[in-house]
Amino acid sequence: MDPAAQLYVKKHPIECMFFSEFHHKQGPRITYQYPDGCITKESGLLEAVINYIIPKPDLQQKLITVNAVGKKVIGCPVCLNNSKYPRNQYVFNFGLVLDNENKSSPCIPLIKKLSTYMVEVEKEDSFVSSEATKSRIPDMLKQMFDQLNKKGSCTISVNESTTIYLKIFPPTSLPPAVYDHHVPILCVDPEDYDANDWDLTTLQVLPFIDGFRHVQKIASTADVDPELTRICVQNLAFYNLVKLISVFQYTNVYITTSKVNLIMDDLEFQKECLNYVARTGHQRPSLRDVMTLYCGLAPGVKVQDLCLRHQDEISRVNEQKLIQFGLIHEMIRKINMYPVTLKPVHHSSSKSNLHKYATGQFSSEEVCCKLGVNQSELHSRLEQDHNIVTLWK
Amino acid sequence: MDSDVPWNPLGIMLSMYGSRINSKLLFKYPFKTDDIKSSCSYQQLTSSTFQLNSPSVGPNNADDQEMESDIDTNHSREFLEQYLGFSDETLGQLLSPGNTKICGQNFDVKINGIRFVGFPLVPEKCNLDCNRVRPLQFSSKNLSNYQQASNNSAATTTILSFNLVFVLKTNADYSVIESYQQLAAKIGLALRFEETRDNYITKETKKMLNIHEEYETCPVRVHKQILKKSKLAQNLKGVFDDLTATGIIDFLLNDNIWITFCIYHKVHNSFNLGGHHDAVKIEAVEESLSKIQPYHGILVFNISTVWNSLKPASSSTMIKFLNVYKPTKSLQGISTDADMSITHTYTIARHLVHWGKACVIYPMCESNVYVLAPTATLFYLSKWVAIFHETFQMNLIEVLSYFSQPVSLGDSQLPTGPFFGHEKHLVEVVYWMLQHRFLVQHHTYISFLPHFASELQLTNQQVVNLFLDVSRKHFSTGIEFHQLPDLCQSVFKAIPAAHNTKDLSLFLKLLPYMDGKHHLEEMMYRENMMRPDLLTILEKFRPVLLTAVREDEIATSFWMNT
Repeated sequence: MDPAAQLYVKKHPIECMFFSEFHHKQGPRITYQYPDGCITKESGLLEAVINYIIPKPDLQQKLITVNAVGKKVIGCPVCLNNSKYPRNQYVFNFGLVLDNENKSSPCIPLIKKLSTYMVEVEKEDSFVSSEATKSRIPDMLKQMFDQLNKKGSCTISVNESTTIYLKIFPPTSLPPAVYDHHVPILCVDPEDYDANDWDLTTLQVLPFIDGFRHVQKIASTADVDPELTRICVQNLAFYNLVKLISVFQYTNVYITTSKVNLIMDDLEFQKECLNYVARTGHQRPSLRDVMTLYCGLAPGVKVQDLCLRHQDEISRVNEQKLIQFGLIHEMIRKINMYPVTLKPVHHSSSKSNLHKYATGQFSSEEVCCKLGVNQSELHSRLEQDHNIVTLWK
Repeated sequence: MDSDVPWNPLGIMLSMYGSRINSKLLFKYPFKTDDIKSSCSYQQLTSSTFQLNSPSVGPNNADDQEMESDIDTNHSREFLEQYLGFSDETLGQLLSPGNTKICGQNFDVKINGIRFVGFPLVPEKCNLDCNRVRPLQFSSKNLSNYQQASNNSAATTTILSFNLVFVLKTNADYSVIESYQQLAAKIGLALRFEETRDNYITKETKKMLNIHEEYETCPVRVHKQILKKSKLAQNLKGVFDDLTATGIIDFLLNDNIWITFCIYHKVHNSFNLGGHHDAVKIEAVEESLSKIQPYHGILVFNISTVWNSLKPASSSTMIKFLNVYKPTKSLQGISTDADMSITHTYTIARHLVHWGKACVIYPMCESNVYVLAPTATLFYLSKWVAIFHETFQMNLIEVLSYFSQPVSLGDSQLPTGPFFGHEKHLVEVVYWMLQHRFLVQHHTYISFLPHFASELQLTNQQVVNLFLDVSRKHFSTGIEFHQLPDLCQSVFKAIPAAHNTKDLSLFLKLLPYMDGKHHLEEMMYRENMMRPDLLTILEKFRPVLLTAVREDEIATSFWMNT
């Protein structure tokens, strides 16, 4: 069972499952629906959507979503041509109703699958059109409705040889881009996840994710291809198992965000923070110690400056953990340095490959990773070059 | 260039349902792929290419398309092909199914990853008789034309409903869809009004239907001909072009009704975002603007374009607002000078920001501190470098490097700064950089955090309340040090100023703002204080205070993604 799908469907329940067909005498109609009374004349929904549930031939075999009267009706009308049918063709549609505000995409795969299966069973033994088997449809609708709303997935046996498995896919967002200079940090307890859930590469990479090593370093230490490592980390980030922060360096500059105030209002959060940032084997820091350090972060203040300025506080607070905690909880953000060429130079005259990256698109971290130098080397090279200025944002 | 963004429409269409001619697509734009300006060199598609996507697409194929369109954002051309793959007959069926029950409310149908958003309407009942599309009976010149027309069904059909529809990508947000629905309703209702007044729809429909009949054998040219002959079609094309270009619509329908509209998504995301692809959420803009304060000001980017865009029927308060507006004035000041209520001033300010004509700032003054915004584009060959050089004859990168560290406007005018002797220039540069989101203003926030708070496990609010209880009791007489509870006395023991009744009272008055959420400028406004006085009292109580610098959340939160 997929907890994400279950959680999603709880918040965004399916309101109705229905079966609709073109009756050779009565015309288009909603033959069965569960629960009853959703698509009716009284609610106004029937008239608003019937043209799209049982549409003209042009629009058949297509996924159609109609928003009307505060509801969203999703269906996939199909048409079968065969001389056995009273009008030589038979149009039917299995669909569902959601609230207007919900997205249709999570339910679309299941409608598509359901429709494909029902076409098959109809072709095989007229399951949908024959009166004898048709009577089983209301029960199927009920089962689908109940199971989907309860578990986010369902298993329906249609006949002896056919069982349909349907599932709701909660909407997802794209995982963040992972670069060599990113530092992944675990946000769950390593014991909470089952090693069997992961592929071999991820298992090889996981032990090296400590919140200090950057992706490039992890790749070389774990002896995994850098590209594969990036993909692994991205995958972990997608499942919210890791967060991406920046490399800790004493030359880094940070600034607080408005979220830093949370720590003053929320005692639980405060406790968590103090426990996290405390220097082991020293006196426990007070809130004022931690806040003094966070508030000391400002443009132009490097972490090394902060440590010098607040030697008393820093004796109780681990500065690396302090920055980590701040970044994870978005209480602070990093101000990156970007080397930028003042006047474009011709390639022939360029002395170094530094100019290649001094375009304003790469932060100093990225440049370091690309050139394979450390910050201080980069710094001295930048100082020598008067055509490059450093911008901080 | 950025045709793959979800708020750009794929097309605009007008359809009708009539008594003689049933569902009919009257006009669509664009009608060919090469009508979309695109930088990519795509091969010209022939109409036979569309057959691949035409109605009888197998279920498997359709499934792939649907799945793809729900995840992928970068396939606008595929979207477009797919939309053009629908035949006019299908579109007619789809958009005007002849059911008047769906009229007068939002229309929203999604098929195979293409969304159709509109607002179907029935022409007003009393006018139904006049809606009959008649040939040009009274025009003798067109007599032959009339005879030809009278033989066809276009001659006497009555419009039962019409639908103005926008075609959108399915990755468009709910708020984008809502905006387009509003726009469709706005144009639709204007059309209905013009129909009642002037039989506008009937006339235009007749023109279009005649062209449809005339070019029946050559359907490829129908829409091109309509575009040539029909004013309404030209208007609709104009709407589409404006939506794709700027997101702001401004045209005169049938020389009678001004239609103006703004797709906020388009406007707010066309600002310089420094390579951030996270779209500005309109909900975030709304939320941020709802928190706007009297001490905020606004920066109108180009006041003459705002003046020019005003219509004769514009609100007179807008004119009053613009007359007294200055970037150095707060909204409170504008409200006083224009003699209107502060809430009304807010409304106008919000409107200007919504339409992308202005941004929220703190009024310009010498003590304002500015620094590079995280959204600044630093690329040394970007178009901004050229624009900046053209406008100010300065190197943008150099100026950016100057603003890499926070500087106040006052300091920038010192002999050591690059703007010495160019004060006027400096202000213009700062305006420009604020408009294009190169700069943010930094404010100083104060938190009151005495040592004991963490030991006693109190929230900051509780600590502050301890002090405030006392100050409320003795508000009129002033507070003496010895009147404070023991706990509070211990906090202030080492602070000489706390023993001074005047200083202590003032400090306690300011205490509610010292929670790290109020900046100095806000304290000055709320307590009507001058900056030096405020700084003096804060300096006196420095041991129990913490200061932090950052940008004003209300003014910047929606575009800074912090």
